[in-house]
Amino acid sequence: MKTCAKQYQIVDYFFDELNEIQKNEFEKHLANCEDCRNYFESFFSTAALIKEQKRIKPKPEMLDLYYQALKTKYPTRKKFSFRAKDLLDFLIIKPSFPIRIAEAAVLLMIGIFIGRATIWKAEPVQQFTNGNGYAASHVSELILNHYLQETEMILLDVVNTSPDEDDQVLLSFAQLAQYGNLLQKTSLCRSKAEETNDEKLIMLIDDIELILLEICNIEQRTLTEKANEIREQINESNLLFEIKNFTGKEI
Amino acid sequence: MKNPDDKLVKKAKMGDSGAFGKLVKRYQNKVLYLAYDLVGNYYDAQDVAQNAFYQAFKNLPFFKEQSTFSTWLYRITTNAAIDFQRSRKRRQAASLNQPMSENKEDRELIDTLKDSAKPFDKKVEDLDLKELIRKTTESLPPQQRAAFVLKYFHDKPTEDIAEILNCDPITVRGHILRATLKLKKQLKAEK
Ligand SMILES: [Zn+2]
Repeated sequence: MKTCAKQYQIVDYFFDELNEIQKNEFEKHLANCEDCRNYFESFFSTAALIKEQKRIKPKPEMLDLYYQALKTKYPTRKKFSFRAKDLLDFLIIKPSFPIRIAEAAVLLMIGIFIGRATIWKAEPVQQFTNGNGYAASHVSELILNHYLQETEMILLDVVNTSPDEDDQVLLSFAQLAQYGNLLQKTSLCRSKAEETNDEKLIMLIDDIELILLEICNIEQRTLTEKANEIREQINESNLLFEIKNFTGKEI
Repeated sequence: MKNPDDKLVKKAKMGDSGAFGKLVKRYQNKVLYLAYDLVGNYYDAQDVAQNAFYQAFKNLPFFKEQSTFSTWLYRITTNAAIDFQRSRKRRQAASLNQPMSENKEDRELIDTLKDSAKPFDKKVEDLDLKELIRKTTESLPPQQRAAFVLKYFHDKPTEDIAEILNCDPITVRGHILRATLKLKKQLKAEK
Protein backbone atom coordinates (compact mmCIF):
# COMPACT_ATOMS: atom_id res chain seq x y z
CA MET A 1 0.00 0.00 0.00
CA LYS A 2 1.37 3.37 -0.99
CA THR A 3 1.32 5.84 1.86
CA CYS A 4 1.48 9.58 1.90
CA ALA A 5 4.24 11.07 4.04
CA LYS A 6 1.77 13.36 5.80
CA GLN A 7 -0.27 10.45 7.07
CA TYR A 8 1.32 10.45 10.52
CA GLN A 9 0.10 13.96 11.16
CA ILE A 10 -3.38 12.50 11.49
CA VAL A 11 -2.44 11.49 15.04
CA ASP A 12 -1.17 14.95 15.94
CA TYR A 13 -4.22 16.52 14.36
CA PHE A 14 -6.66 14.32 16.22
CA PHE A 15 -4.95 14.83 19.57
CA ASP A 16 -4.64 18.55 18.99
CA GLU A 17 -0.86 18.71 19.01
CA LEU A 18 -0.38 20.92 15.96
CA ASN A 19 0.06 24.66 16.18
CA GLU A 20 -2.31 26.91 14.23
CA ILE A 21 -0.11 27.09 11.14
CA GLN A 22 0.49 23.34 11.01
CA LYS A 23 -3.20 22.75 11.58
CA ASN A 24 -4.20 24.95 8.67
CA GLU A 25 -1.61 23.34 6.44
CA PHE A 26 -2.81 19.87 7.32
CA GLU A 27 -6.43 20.77 6.71
CA LYS A 28 -5.46 22.07 3.28
CA HIS A 29 -3.59 18.85 2.65
CA LEU A 30 -6.60 16.77 3.68
CA ALA A 31 -8.75 18.61 1.20
CA ASN A 32 -6.34 17.72 -1.60
CA CYS A 33 -5.09 14.23 -0.69
CA GLU A 34 -7.62 11.45 -1.01
CA ASP A 35 -5.31 8.91 0.63
CA CYS A 36 -5.04 10.91 3.81
CA ARG A 37 -8.71 11.81 3.78
CA ASN A 38 -9.77 8.18 3.66
CA TYR A 39 -7.26 7.25 6.27
CA PHE A 40 -8.37 10.09 8.49
CA GLU A 41 -12.04 9.21 8.25
CA SER A 42 -11.23 5.64 9.06
CA PHE A 43 -9.15 6.68 12.05
CA PHE A 44 -11.27 9.47 13.45
CA SER A 45 -14.48 7.71 14.48
CA THR A 46 -12.68 4.82 16.16
CA ALA A 47 -10.21 7.10 17.90
CA ALA A 48 -13.06 9.21 19.27
CA LEU A 49 -14.82 6.08 20.49
CA ILE A 50 -11.73 4.78 22.27
CA LYS A 51 -10.95 8.12 23.83
CA GLU A 52 -14.26 8.34 25.63
CA GLN A 53 -13.91 4.94 27.31
CA LYS A 54 -13.31 5.12 31.03
CA ARG A 55 -11.27 2.43 32.69
CA ILE A 56 -12.80 0.03 35.21
CA LYS A 57 -12.06 1.26 38.73
CA PRO A 58 -10.23 -0.94 41.24
CA LYS A 59 -12.03 -2.24 44.31
CA PRO A 60 -11.61 0.12 47.28
CA GLU A 61 -10.21 -2.68 49.48
CA MET A 62 -7.51 -3.39 46.96
CA LEU A 63 -6.73 0.30 46.64
CA ASP A 64 -6.42 0.64 50.42
CA LEU A 65 -4.00 -2.25 50.61
CA TYR A 66 -1.94 -0.77 47.82
CA TYR A 67 -1.80 2.71 49.40
CA GLN A 68 -0.96 1.20 52.75
CA ALA A 69 1.89 -0.85 51.32
CA LEU A 70 3.39 2.18 49.62
CA LYS A 71 2.97 4.34 52.69
CA THR A 72 4.78 1.83 54.84
CA LYS A 73 7.67 1.51 52.41
CA TYR A 74 7.92 5.19 51.51
CA PRO A 75 6.72 7.37 54.37
CA THR A 76 6.07 11.01 53.58
CA ARG A 77 7.45 12.21 56.89
CA LYS A 78 10.85 11.66 58.34
CA LYS A 79 10.21 12.26 62.01
CA PHE A 80 7.04 12.64 63.99
CA SER A 81 3.66 12.29 62.49
CA PHE A 82 0.99 14.34 64.08
CA ARG A 83 -2.66 14.71 63.28
CA ALA A 84 -2.14 18.31 62.29
CA LYS A 85 -5.60 18.73 60.90
CA ASP A 86 -7.27 17.61 64.09
CA LEU A 87 -5.21 20.05 66.09
CA LEU A 88 -6.03 22.86 63.71
CA ASP A 89 -9.68 22.05 63.81
CA PHE A 90 -9.46 22.35 67.54
CA LEU A 91 -7.45 25.57 67.53
CA ILE A 92 -9.19 27.44 64.80
CA ILE A 93 -12.86 28.18 64.51
CA LYS A 94 -13.60 28.40 60.85
CA PRO A 95 -15.42 31.58 59.94
CA SER A 96 -17.79 31.71 57.01
CA PHE A 97 -16.29 31.87 53.61
CA PRO A 98 -16.87 35.56 52.63
CA ILE A 99 -15.43 36.61 55.97
CA ARG A 100 -12.36 34.52 55.34
CA ILE A 101 -11.88 36.14 51.91
CA ALA A 102 -12.22 39.58 53.46
CA GLU A 103 -9.78 38.71 56.20
CA ALA A 104 -7.26 37.42 53.73
CA ALA A 105 -7.57 40.56 51.65
CA VAL A 106 -7.14 42.83 54.68
CA LEU A 107 -4.15 40.86 55.85
CA LEU A 108 -2.59 41.13 52.44
CA MET A 109 -3.06 44.90 52.47
CA ILE A 110 -1.52 45.20 55.91
CA GLY A 111 1.26 42.92 54.81
CA ILE A 112 2.09 45.01 51.80
CA PHE A 113 2.04 48.14 53.94
CA ILE A 114 4.26 46.68 56.64
CA GLY A 115 6.52 45.25 53.99
CA ARG A 116 7.02 48.65 52.40
CA ALA A 117 7.45 50.43 55.71
CA THR A 118 10.12 47.98 56.78
CA ILE A 119 12.00 48.25 53.54
CA TRP A 120 11.98 52.04 53.80
CA LYS A 121 13.52 51.81 57.22
CA ALA A 122 16.27 49.59 55.95
CA GLU A 123 19.86 50.69 56.30
CA PRO A 124 21.22 52.19 53.10
CA VAL A 125 24.43 50.15 53.16
CA GLN A 126 23.74 46.79 51.58
CA GLN A 127 26.33 44.12 51.35
CA PHE A 128 24.62 41.97 48.78
CA THR A 129 21.21 41.96 47.29
CA ASN A 130 19.03 39.24 45.93
CA GLY A 131 17.11 39.40 42.66
CA ASN A 132 14.48 41.67 44.12
CA GLY A 133 16.97 44.32 45.04
CA TYR A 134 16.39 43.99 48.77
CA ALA A 135 19.23 43.10 51.01
CA ALA A 136 18.43 39.78 52.53
CA SER A 137 19.75 40.90 55.89
CA HIS A 138 17.19 43.68 56.08
CA VAL A 139 14.15 41.56 55.62
CA SER A 140 12.58 41.87 58.98
CA GLU A 141 11.28 39.08 61.09
CA LEU A 142 7.99 40.86 60.91
CA ILE A 143 7.79 40.15 57.21
CA LEU A 144 8.68 36.53 57.73
CA ASN A 145 6.03 36.19 60.38
CA HIS A 146 3.51 37.96 58.28
CA TYR A 147 4.41 35.93 55.23
CA LEU A 148 3.74 32.75 57.16
CA GLN A 149 0.42 34.05 58.40
CA GLU A 150 -0.58 35.07 54.94
CA THR A 151 0.33 31.70 53.56
CA GLU A 152 -1.45 29.95 56.36
CA MET A 153 -4.59 31.92 55.65
CA ILE A 154 -4.60 30.95 52.02
CA LEU A 155 -3.79 27.32 52.67
CA LEU A 156 -6.51 27.09 55.28
CA ASP A 157 -9.00 28.48 52.85
CA VAL A 158 -7.94 26.10 50.14
CA VAL A 159 -8.24 23.15 52.49
CA ASN A 160 -11.57 24.28 53.83
CA THR A 161 -13.16 24.83 50.46
CA SER A 162 -14.95 21.58 49.99
CA PRO A 163 -15.04 20.08 46.50
CA ASP A 164 -18.79 20.58 46.31
CA GLU A 165 -18.38 24.22 47.16
CA ASP A 166 -17.64 26.26 44.10
CA ASP A 167 -14.19 25.42 42.89
CA GLN A 168 -14.13 28.74 41.11
CA VAL A 169 -13.30 30.08 44.54
CA LEU A 170 -9.95 28.37 44.22
CA LEU A 171 -9.19 30.37 41.14
CA SER A 172 -9.59 33.49 43.22
CA PHE A 173 -7.08 32.07 45.68
CA ALA A 174 -4.74 31.51 42.79
CA GLN A 175 -5.14 35.16 41.95
CA LEU A 176 -4.86 36.13 45.59
CA ALA A 177 -1.58 34.28 45.91
CA GLN A 178 -0.28 36.06 42.85
CA TYR A 179 -1.65 39.37 43.99
CA GLY A 180 0.18 39.12 47.26
CA ASN A 181 3.41 38.38 45.42
CA LEU A 182 3.68 35.50 47.80
CA LEU A 183 6.09 33.66 45.60
CA GLN A 184 8.47 36.59 45.54
CA LYS A 185 8.20 36.88 49.28
CA THR A 186 8.98 33.21 49.48
CA SER A 187 12.39 33.66 47.93
CA LEU A 188 12.95 36.72 50.09
CA CYS A 189 12.19 34.75 53.22
CA ARG A 190 14.30 31.88 52.10
CA SER A 191 17.36 34.08 51.83
CA LYS A 192 16.62 35.25 55.34
CA ALA A 193 16.42 31.67 56.52
CA GLU A 194 19.55 30.70 54.64
CA GLU A 195 21.40 33.56 56.17
CA THR A 196 20.64 32.35 59.66
CA ASN A 197 21.21 28.77 58.55
CA ASP A 198 17.82 27.77 59.87
CA GLU A 199 17.48 24.35 58.26
CA LYS A 200 14.01 23.75 59.60
CA LEU A 201 12.72 27.04 58.29
CA ILE A 202 14.35 26.51 54.89
CA MET A 203 12.60 23.17 54.57
CA LEU A 204 9.31 24.69 55.61
CA ILE A 205 9.63 27.48 53.06
CA ASP A 206 10.53 24.96 50.37
CA ASP A 207 7.37 23.02 51.13
CA ILE A 208 5.31 26.17 51.10
CA GLU A 209 6.75 27.24 47.78
CA LEU A 210 5.83 23.91 46.25
CA ILE A 211 2.19 24.27 47.22
CA LEU A 212 2.04 27.95 46.28
CA LEU A 213 3.42 27.14 42.86
CA GLU A 214 0.68 24.62 42.38
CA ILE A 215 -1.99 27.05 43.53
CA CYS A 216 -0.68 29.77 41.23
CA ASN A 217 -0.67 27.32 38.33
CA ILE A 218 -4.30 26.36 38.71
CA GLU A 219 -6.13 26.81 35.47
CA GLN A 220 -9.76 26.75 34.55
CA ARG A 221 -9.19 23.65 32.44
CA THR A 222 -8.02 21.31 35.18
CA LEU A 223 -9.66 23.11 38.05
CA THR A 224 -11.54 20.45 39.97
CA GLU A 225 -9.02 17.69 39.57
CA LYS A 226 -6.14 19.97 40.49
CA ALA A 227 -8.04 21.46 43.40
CA ASN A 228 -8.59 18.08 44.98
CA GLU A 229 -4.98 17.16 44.45
CA ILE A 230 -3.76 20.33 46.15
CA ARG A 231 -6.15 19.92 49.05
CA GLU A 232 -4.91 16.43 49.61
CA GLN A 233 -1.34 17.62 49.38
CA ILE A 234 -1.80 20.35 51.97
CA ASN A 235 -3.56 18.03 54.37
CA GLU A 236 -1.03 15.34 53.94
CA SER A 237 2.04 17.54 54.23
CA ASN A 238 1.41 18.75 57.78
CA LEU A 239 2.28 22.16 56.44
CA LEU A 240 -0.35 24.05 58.38
CA PHE A 241 0.79 22.53 61.60
CA GLU A 242 4.37 23.44 60.90
CA ILE A 243 3.50 27.00 60.01
CA LYS A 244 1.65 27.28 63.30
CA ASN A 245 4.74 25.92 64.94
CA PHE A 246 6.78 28.77 63.57
CA THR A 247 4.35 31.63 63.94
CA GLY A 248 3.48 30.52 67.45
CA LYS A 249 6.99 31.17 68.66
CA GLU A 250 9.74 33.69 68.15
CA ILE A 251 11.61 33.29 64.90
CA MET B 1 6.33 27.19 34.41
CA LYS B 2 8.48 25.46 36.94
CA ASN B 3 7.85 21.75 37.40
CA PRO B 4 6.53 21.19 40.93
CA ASP B 5 8.33 17.82 41.12
CA ASP B 6 11.82 19.28 40.74
CA LYS B 7 12.25 20.35 44.31
CA LEU B 8 11.09 17.04 45.76
CA VAL B 9 13.32 15.16 43.33
CA LYS B 10 16.34 17.19 44.42
CA LYS B 11 15.55 16.58 48.07
CA ALA B 12 14.95 12.89 47.50
CA LYS B 13 18.24 12.57 45.63
CA MET B 14 19.97 14.06 48.63
CA GLY B 15 18.53 11.30 50.75
CA ASP B 16 15.36 12.90 52.07
CA SER B 17 13.14 9.85 52.30
CA GLY B 18 10.11 11.95 53.13
CA ALA B 19 10.48 13.76 49.82
CA PHE B 20 10.46 10.48 47.92
CA GLY B 21 7.39 9.42 49.87
CA LYS B 22 5.66 12.57 48.70
CA LEU B 23 6.52 11.80 45.10
CA VAL B 24 5.16 8.28 45.55
CA LYS B 25 1.94 9.68 46.95
CA ARG B 26 1.68 12.12 44.08
CA TYR B 27 2.05 9.39 41.47
CA GLN B 28 0.57 6.31 43.13
CA ASN B 29 -2.66 6.45 41.14
CA LYS B 30 -1.10 7.31 37.81
CA VAL B 31 1.42 4.50 38.12
CA LEU B 32 -1.23 1.99 39.21
CA TYR B 33 -3.50 2.89 36.32
CA LEU B 34 -0.70 2.74 33.78
CA ALA B 35 0.28 -0.68 35.11
CA TYR B 36 -3.36 -1.76 34.91
CA ASP B 37 -3.67 -0.54 31.33
CA LEU B 38 -0.57 -2.55 30.46
CA VAL B 39 -1.17 -5.82 32.34
CA GLY B 40 -4.96 -5.92 32.27
CA ASN B 41 -5.87 -6.56 35.92
CA TYR B 42 -5.45 -4.77 39.23
CA TYR B 43 -4.11 -7.79 41.05
CA ASP B 44 -0.97 -7.83 38.93
CA ALA B 45 -1.02 -4.08 38.37
CA GLN B 46 -0.38 -3.27 42.01
CA ASP B 47 2.61 -5.62 42.01
CA VAL B 48 3.96 -3.94 38.92
CA ALA B 49 3.32 -0.49 40.41
CA GLN B 50 5.10 -1.36 43.65
CA ASN B 51 7.98 -2.79 41.71
CA ALA B 52 8.14 0.39 39.61
CA PHE B 53 8.37 2.56 42.72
CA TYR B 54 11.06 0.31 44.10
CA GLN B 55 13.04 0.61 40.85
CA ALA B 56 12.61 4.38 40.93
CA PHE B 57 13.77 4.54 44.53
CA LYS B 58 16.81 2.41 43.77
CA ASN B 59 17.76 4.28 40.62
CA LEU B 60 16.98 7.80 41.75
CA PRO B 61 20.65 8.69 42.34
CA PHE B 62 21.30 7.92 38.67
CA PHE B 63 18.34 9.94 37.40
CA LYS B 64 20.00 12.68 35.34
CA GLU B 65 16.93 14.93 35.14
CA GLN B 66 17.23 15.20 31.37
CA SER B 67 13.57 14.33 31.25
CA THR B 68 10.93 15.19 33.83
CA PHE B 69 10.51 12.92 36.83
CA SER B 70 7.07 12.03 35.55
CA THR B 71 8.40 10.85 32.18
CA TRP B 72 11.17 8.90 33.89
CA LEU B 73 8.70 7.20 36.23
CA TYR B 74 6.36 6.36 33.35
CA ARG B 75 9.28 4.76 31.55
CA ILE B 76 10.17 2.66 34.57
CA THR B 77 6.55 1.61 34.98
CA THR B 78 6.17 0.71 31.31
CA ASN B 79 9.33 -1.38 31.41
CA ALA B 80 8.25 -3.08 34.62
CA ALA B 81 4.90 -3.95 33.03
CA ILE B 82 6.48 -5.29 29.85
CA ASP B 83 8.94 -7.38 31.88
CA PHE B 84 6.05 -8.69 33.92
CA GLN B 85 4.13 -9.72 30.82
CA ARG B 86 7.13 -11.58 29.45
CA SER B 87 7.70 -13.50 32.66
CA ARG B 88 3.99 -14.25 32.92
CA LYS B 89 4.09 -15.83 29.49
CA ARG B 90 7.04 -17.94 30.59
CA ARG B 91 5.23 -18.93 33.78
CA GLN B 92 2.09 -19.87 31.87
CA ALA B 93 4.09 -21.98 29.45
CA ALA B 94 5.77 -23.74 32.36
CA SER B 95 2.58 -24.31 34.36
CA LEU B 96 0.95 -26.20 31.51
CA ASN B 97 3.18 -29.10 32.45
CA GLN B 98 2.51 -28.88 36.15
CA PRO B 99 -0.38 -30.19 38.24
CA MET B 100 -2.72 -27.67 39.85
CA SER B 101 -2.29 -26.93 43.53
CA GLU B 102 -3.73 -29.76 45.59
CA ASN B 103 -4.89 -27.42 48.31
CA LYS B 104 -8.47 -26.36 47.69
CA GLU B 105 -8.28 -23.33 49.98
CA ASP B 106 -5.19 -22.11 48.22
CA ARG B 107 -6.89 -22.37 44.91
CA GLU B 108 -9.98 -20.57 46.12
CA LEU B 109 -7.93 -17.77 47.59
CA ILE B 110 -6.04 -17.31 44.37
CA ASP B 111 -9.28 -17.32 42.41
CA THR B 112 -10.85 -14.71 44.66
CA LEU B 113 -7.83 -12.49 44.45
CA LYS B 114 -7.76 -12.72 40.71
CA ASP B 115 -11.48 -12.43 40.35
CA SER B 116 -11.89 -8.66 40.30
CA ALA B 117 -9.10 -8.59 37.87
CA LYS B 118 -9.68 -11.32 35.41
CA PRO B 119 -10.26 -9.51 32.19
CA PHE B 120 -11.78 -11.95 29.73
CA ASP B 121 -13.60 -14.96 30.92
CA LYS B 122 -16.87 -13.85 29.36
CA LYS B 123 -18.17 -14.79 25.97
CA VAL B 124 -17.41 -12.41 23.19
CA GLU B 125 -21.00 -11.26 22.80
CA ASP B 126 -21.15 -10.21 26.47
CA LEU B 127 -18.16 -7.96 26.21
CA ASP B 128 -18.87 -4.29 26.32
CA LEU B 129 -16.83 -1.84 24.36
CA LYS B 130 -14.48 -1.13 27.26
CA GLU B 131 -13.60 -4.77 27.58
CA LEU B 132 -13.36 -5.27 23.86
CA ILE B 133 -10.82 -2.47 23.65
CA ARG B 134 -8.85 -4.01 26.49
CA LYS B 135 -8.95 -7.41 24.87
CA THR B 136 -7.69 -5.99 21.62
CA THR B 137 -4.88 -4.05 23.29
CA GLU B 138 -3.71 -7.32 24.83
CA SER B 139 -2.97 -8.69 21.41
CA LEU B 140 -0.82 -5.70 20.42
CA PRO B 141 2.99 -5.91 20.53
CA PRO B 142 4.22 -4.51 23.88
CA GLN B 143 5.59 -1.21 22.59
CA GLN B 144 2.55 -0.56 20.43
CA ARG B 145 0.26 -1.31 23.34
CA ALA B 146 2.22 1.07 25.56
CA ALA B 147 2.09 3.87 22.98
CA PHE B 148 -1.64 3.26 22.60
CA VAL B 149 -2.56 3.41 26.29
CA LEU B 150 -0.23 6.34 27.03
CA LYS B 151 -1.92 8.30 24.28
CA TYR B 152 -5.56 7.40 24.78
CA PHE B 153 -5.80 6.79 28.51
CA HIS B 154 -3.00 8.95 29.91
CA ASP B 155 -3.21 11.91 27.54
CA LYS B 156 0.53 11.98 26.99
CA PRO B 157 1.92 14.16 24.20
CA THR B 158 3.59 12.20 21.41
CA GLU B 159 7.00 13.63 22.25
CA ASP B 160 6.70 12.43 25.85
CA ILE B 161 5.65 8.96 24.74
CA ALA B 162 8.71 8.84 22.49
CA GLU B 163 10.85 9.64 25.52
CA ILE B 164 9.07 7.10 27.70
CA LEU B 165 9.47 4.37 25.09
CA ASN B 166 12.92 5.54 24.03
CA CYS B 167 12.00 5.68 20.37
CA ASP B 168 11.35 8.19 17.59
CA PRO B 169 8.11 10.26 17.70
CA ILE B 170 7.30 9.04 14.20
CA THR B 171 7.34 5.48 15.51
CA VAL B 172 4.88 6.48 18.23
CA ARG B 173 2.53 7.96 15.64
CA GLY B 174 2.82 4.77 13.61
CA HIS B 175 1.99 2.65 16.66
CA ILE B 176 -1.09 4.71 17.42
CA LEU B 177 -2.33 4.70 13.83
CA ARG B 178 -1.89 0.96 13.46
CA ALA B 179 -3.32 0.08 16.86
CA THR B 180 -6.38 2.26 16.25
CA LEU B 181 -7.08 0.73 12.85
CA LYS B 182 -6.61 -2.75 14.25
CA LEU B 183 -9.19 -1.95 16.89
CA LYS B 184 -11.57 -0.67 14.27
CA LYS B 185 -11.26 -4.00 12.47
CA GLN B 186 -11.90 -5.91 15.70
CA LEU B 187 -14.95 -3.81 16.52
CA LYS B 188 -16.40 -4.58 13.09
CA ALA B 189 -15.65 -8.26 13.44
CA GLU B 190 -17.25 -8.55 16.87
CA LYS B 191 -20.39 -6.51 16.30
ZN1 LIG C 1 -1.66 12.80 2.11
